[in-house]
Amino acid sequence: MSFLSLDFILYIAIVVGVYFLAPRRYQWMVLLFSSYGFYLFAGWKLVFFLLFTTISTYTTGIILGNLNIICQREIKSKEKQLERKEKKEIKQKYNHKKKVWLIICLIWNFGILLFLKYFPFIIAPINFIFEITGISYEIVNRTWMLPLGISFYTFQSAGYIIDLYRDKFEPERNFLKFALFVSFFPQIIQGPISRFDELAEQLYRGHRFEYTRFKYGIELMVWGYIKKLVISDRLSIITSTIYSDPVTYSGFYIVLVVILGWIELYTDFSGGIDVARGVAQILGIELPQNFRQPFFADSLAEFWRRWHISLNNWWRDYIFYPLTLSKTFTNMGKKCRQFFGDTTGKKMPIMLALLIIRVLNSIWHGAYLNYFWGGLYHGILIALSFLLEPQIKAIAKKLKINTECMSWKLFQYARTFFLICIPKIINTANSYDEIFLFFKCLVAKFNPWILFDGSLYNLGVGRRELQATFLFVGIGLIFSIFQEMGYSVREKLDEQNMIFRWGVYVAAICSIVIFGVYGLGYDVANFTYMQF
Amino acid sequence: MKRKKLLVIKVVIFSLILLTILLSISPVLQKKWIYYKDNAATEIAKGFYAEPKDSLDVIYLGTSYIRNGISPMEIWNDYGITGYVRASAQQAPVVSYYLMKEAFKTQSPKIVVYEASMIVQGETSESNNYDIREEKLHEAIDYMKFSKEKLELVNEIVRNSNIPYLGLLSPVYRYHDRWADLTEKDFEQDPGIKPYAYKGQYPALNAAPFSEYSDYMKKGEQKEDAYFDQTTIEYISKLNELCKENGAQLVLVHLPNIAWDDNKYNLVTEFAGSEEIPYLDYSSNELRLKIGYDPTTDSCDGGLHLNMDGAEKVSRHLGYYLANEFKIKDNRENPEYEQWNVDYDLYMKEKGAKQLSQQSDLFQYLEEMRASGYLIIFAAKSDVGTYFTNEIQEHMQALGLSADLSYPLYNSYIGITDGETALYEEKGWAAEGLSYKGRIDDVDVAVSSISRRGQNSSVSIRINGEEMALDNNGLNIVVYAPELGRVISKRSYNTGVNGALYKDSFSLDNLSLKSYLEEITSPRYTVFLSADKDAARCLSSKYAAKIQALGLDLNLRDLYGSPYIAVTDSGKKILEQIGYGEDYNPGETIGLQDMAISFIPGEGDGISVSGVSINGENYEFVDKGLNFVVWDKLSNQVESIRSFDTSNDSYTDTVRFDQIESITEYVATAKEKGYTAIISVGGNNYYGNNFSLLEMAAQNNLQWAWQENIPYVGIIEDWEVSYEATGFILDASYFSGNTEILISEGVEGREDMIQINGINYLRAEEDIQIIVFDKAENTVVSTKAWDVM
Repeated sequence: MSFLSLDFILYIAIVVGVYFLAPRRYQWMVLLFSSYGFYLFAGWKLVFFLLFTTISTYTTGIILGNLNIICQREIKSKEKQLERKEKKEIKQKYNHKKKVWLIICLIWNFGILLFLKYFPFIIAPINFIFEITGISYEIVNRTWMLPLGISFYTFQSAGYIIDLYRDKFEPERNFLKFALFVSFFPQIIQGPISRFDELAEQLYRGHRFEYTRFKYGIELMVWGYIKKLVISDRLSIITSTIYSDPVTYSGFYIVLVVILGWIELYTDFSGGIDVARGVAQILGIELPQNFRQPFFADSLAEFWRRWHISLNNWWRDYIFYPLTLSKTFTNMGKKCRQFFGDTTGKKMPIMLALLIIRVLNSIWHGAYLNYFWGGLYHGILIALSFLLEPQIKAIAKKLKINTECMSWKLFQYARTFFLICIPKIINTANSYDEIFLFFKCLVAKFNPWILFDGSLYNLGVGRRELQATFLFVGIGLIFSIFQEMGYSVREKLDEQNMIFRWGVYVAAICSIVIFGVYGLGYDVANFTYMQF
Repeated sequence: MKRKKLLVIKVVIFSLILLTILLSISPVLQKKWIYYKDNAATEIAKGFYAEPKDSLDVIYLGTSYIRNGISPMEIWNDYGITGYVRASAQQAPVVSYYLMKEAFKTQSPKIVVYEASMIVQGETSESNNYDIREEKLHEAIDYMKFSKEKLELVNEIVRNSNIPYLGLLSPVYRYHDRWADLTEKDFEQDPGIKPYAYKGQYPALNAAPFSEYSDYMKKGEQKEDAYFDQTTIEYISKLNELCKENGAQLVLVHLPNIAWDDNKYNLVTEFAGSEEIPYLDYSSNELRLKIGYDPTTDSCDGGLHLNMDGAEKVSRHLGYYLANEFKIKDNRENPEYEQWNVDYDLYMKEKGAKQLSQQSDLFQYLEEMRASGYLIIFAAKSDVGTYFTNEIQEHMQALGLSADLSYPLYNSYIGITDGETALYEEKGWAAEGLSYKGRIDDVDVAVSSISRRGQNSSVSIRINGEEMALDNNGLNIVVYAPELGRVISKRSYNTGVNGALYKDSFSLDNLSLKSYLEEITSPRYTVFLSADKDAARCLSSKYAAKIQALGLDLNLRDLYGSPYIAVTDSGKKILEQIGYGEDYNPGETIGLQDMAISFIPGEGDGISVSGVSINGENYEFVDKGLNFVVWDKLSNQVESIRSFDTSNDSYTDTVRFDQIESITEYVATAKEKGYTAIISVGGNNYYGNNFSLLEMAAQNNLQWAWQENIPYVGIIEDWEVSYEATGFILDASYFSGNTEILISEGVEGREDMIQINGINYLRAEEDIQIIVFDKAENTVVSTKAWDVM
């Protein structure tokens, strides 16, 4: 069931109604049923994957949890006698045991994800081997149907057992409750990816109906729909026109399509997230923020702290820190310090870790080689800027550039935006040839006049529609500025008089009805991130 | 608890407000099919619901072909049968079925007529592909009242296509994109269910002839692979059942349509036969001929759809068929149906508008407007004076406007009239502009006229704020019909320096003598006429009168043995000379409006001049009889040189009528000579297949001659059908000028006869009798009778 269908609205209404009518103790069961109900709409066969992950992480979690308990008990019982070193050894022993279970579970679950999602990458080397050894069999490449949200719930569950490995909390012993954590339906399609310690308690605790929460939740959902249906889907008409024929639409059109493409992607993704968070908020559950005005980033690194926050935090906590704190990396650091000197050498393993994360994040999006290159681009740039941070600061000082003023900030925002545009072209292309084609077409013509002479209205969206879309983009920009300054739009709205508020509500809903891209003549574009 | 209650109340009120606003947006965004551009689809769909319960005898279903092609008003007027056309563009069979199911709830018609073009599928016509026809489906469905049948219909369509459910039920869902195209019309208050005066017919006013008319129903020929679609057959059968259950008879019909062919005709005939449903195919050669279908006048789009004239013809026949075959009561005298008579008056006004729009000639156009009650607005742009002739001025005077625009040139001018009296008239000098603002006939009229030399002229005629003037140089004319509530004609005639005056370019040389003589009376021509001494020998009085109307003193029939020369211009004689007078010098040069003219002397006996020289060019009078040289003042050249040999039989009065065998030729000859033809057809025999009679009737526009077994009389006078009567008992009289014709047939105590000006002519025994009467001479020229084959 798509977020964008009226069926979904109806479903939400029913779920919310039943939820708040149910006694508080059983409210979490309502959520469980609704989540599995929602998932079953996607196809009952795919539920098996979800169940597999749920069961495997549940059991592993319990095992790990039990091992944690045993370990603690052992230490506690001998607490007086043991020295630190011995305590550590006990811990190590148990760590080894835990690691085994952890790794098995991770391999199973990520294995499935890798198999289904990165099939061509897996069979390529195998086929290569076959070719070399003369076996005349070739595994045919197929695109498997991905279970709904597999990239998200896998990561969420993996985070759970890794946290348990780290003995952060007690495992959930109630299987059904755990199943809810894995399958909670607002976030299953495209995140955000939550942590057990943040989410679980909220899920299982009952909630009273609170009008303010309800109001805020609906407002968030409405804004999410506006972003998706009015802005993103309309821009996608233009971008697909240009992308489908870059030779005709070369020069500034390519510039345009990249810029619009970012707005489109942002409104699409954050719109969906808003709907998800809005639904959760109505139910009294707070899901983590996934976007924080990403285009107001003063550096590339900062950009990644503002875009798809939950996923990037996941990389940070479960890949970056373990890597940089691992033995291999610390050894590497030592060696680097020998070769490159203290300051630089110290940074090198971090740079490598940064690189790895950026690449992982990029290829997380799909099994295409150009994602790899895009990720590499980001990684190299971030690593370099990390390396050269002091030097860059020195240059700025020398040039007497004021780095605190607003104009400098704007310059930084623009610079960051420019930097992210280049890999966008790489990532949008479907093949190496296409990448070169796009770049070639970019420089083929110099035609800035297309922005003024009305050519914009011939790309599939008429003049009035385009103007309306940009009006909403403008509204979004104002909201972002607001939020960047620390205000909450919804709270500000709440302060106004009822007539004004009601006017805004009616206008917003009518905007979706009138300006939304739906109905005949449009293929209602599904959320981009749903395919992951 | 109180807070909770307050909360609930707030939510409820808010929801109501939101709902109200969404509901009020819906009719604005909804697509409207407005009268002019979209064949009145919306009015027709809604108008059905205004019909009083159980008041319709017939309901017609089908596509835009029948929406244009059947005129319930004609049928009402002729037979007193009431009907409504519930048609829509490309109406799919499923739609027709459910429309009828809904209709049976409020009406109990005896006949349901279904137009059969959608029965046969072809490569280009998939009736049941709802995805392709999605937009057209909305035409029919969007304005259906909310009902069980509407839901069933939507369900059926959704089940068999990819169209989303909401897409059909909610206009907002489907048409929300229209926000970018909203116009004033969208915000107009919806008047609710308004009756539609033409009962479902969209009367197309224009005539667009077939580009190439041929026998498109060639026997055995197939335009494309045609076959039956099971879905359609299923629905026709269901429709048939539905009709039977409700006591109605289903009748299949097909209208003259160039896309039909013989194969399709056969398929449907066979189907109709097997289902025992009567089938009338007006596209078939037989019926087309019978109703007198004329491809040059009866189609509004080159052969696909009928216009008002075509619809009239089909409806007369269909109405006759329905009245007689199914004995439907004639309600014309029934006071309950008085509204139909009122509506018929409006329909006749529509016909008037059509009549007006079909006049291309300026004078005919202006004549048609006299005493019409229309609001007629003239406004000048640029020069209107150069060719503003007396004739034009006279015609405008007849409308109540008295301005003489011929001097000075570049008059600004505004003239507003109701066809009889001027409501406002003002003429201004070159530099001034003129403007008028007022309210007439319930509309706001704003006119401006600025005529200047060069490029700075402008003109504007606005009705209710909408610009209607064509904005061409010359006289811009806008005609508004108050009873129809809309502008029915916009024209411009360039009476100025660069104008083509008031006619399109056409060739004088193709015209018959009669038409030629009429045309050359135009002010734009100077006519040089030479007649040799024998010219008048066989000149008919009719033609002689027309020649004299050029402005001459002499009637050429009085010219005996003398040659003759004349020059006329704009209805005035410049020169007229008979014979060889001593003072007549053929070499004489006459001055005529900056032309250098002289006559070339002739040689030999009996020829006064052999030609005329104009501006140095010689134009010879070569032939015997009458020689015309016509000079066009506008194009400054000789437009036509023609001669008519009136010295021998072909143009003579005494045509050997008795030697003409064919009915068609007989009547045509009589007409050509300007005689009156009285055609009488008896009722004794079945003559339905007498093509000769039908051909003559079609050619001469006799509306009723094709009826079978009913006596008929038709009179053609002055080249036009001036009288027709039919009935088992004919006791008719006809007066025209000095002619009085009485016809008696089947009257008790009297013999069947035709009496002309007091003289009785007994009705011949044969079935068809034609009398040719010369009213100028008050004699019967000829009479002949034919038997039906």
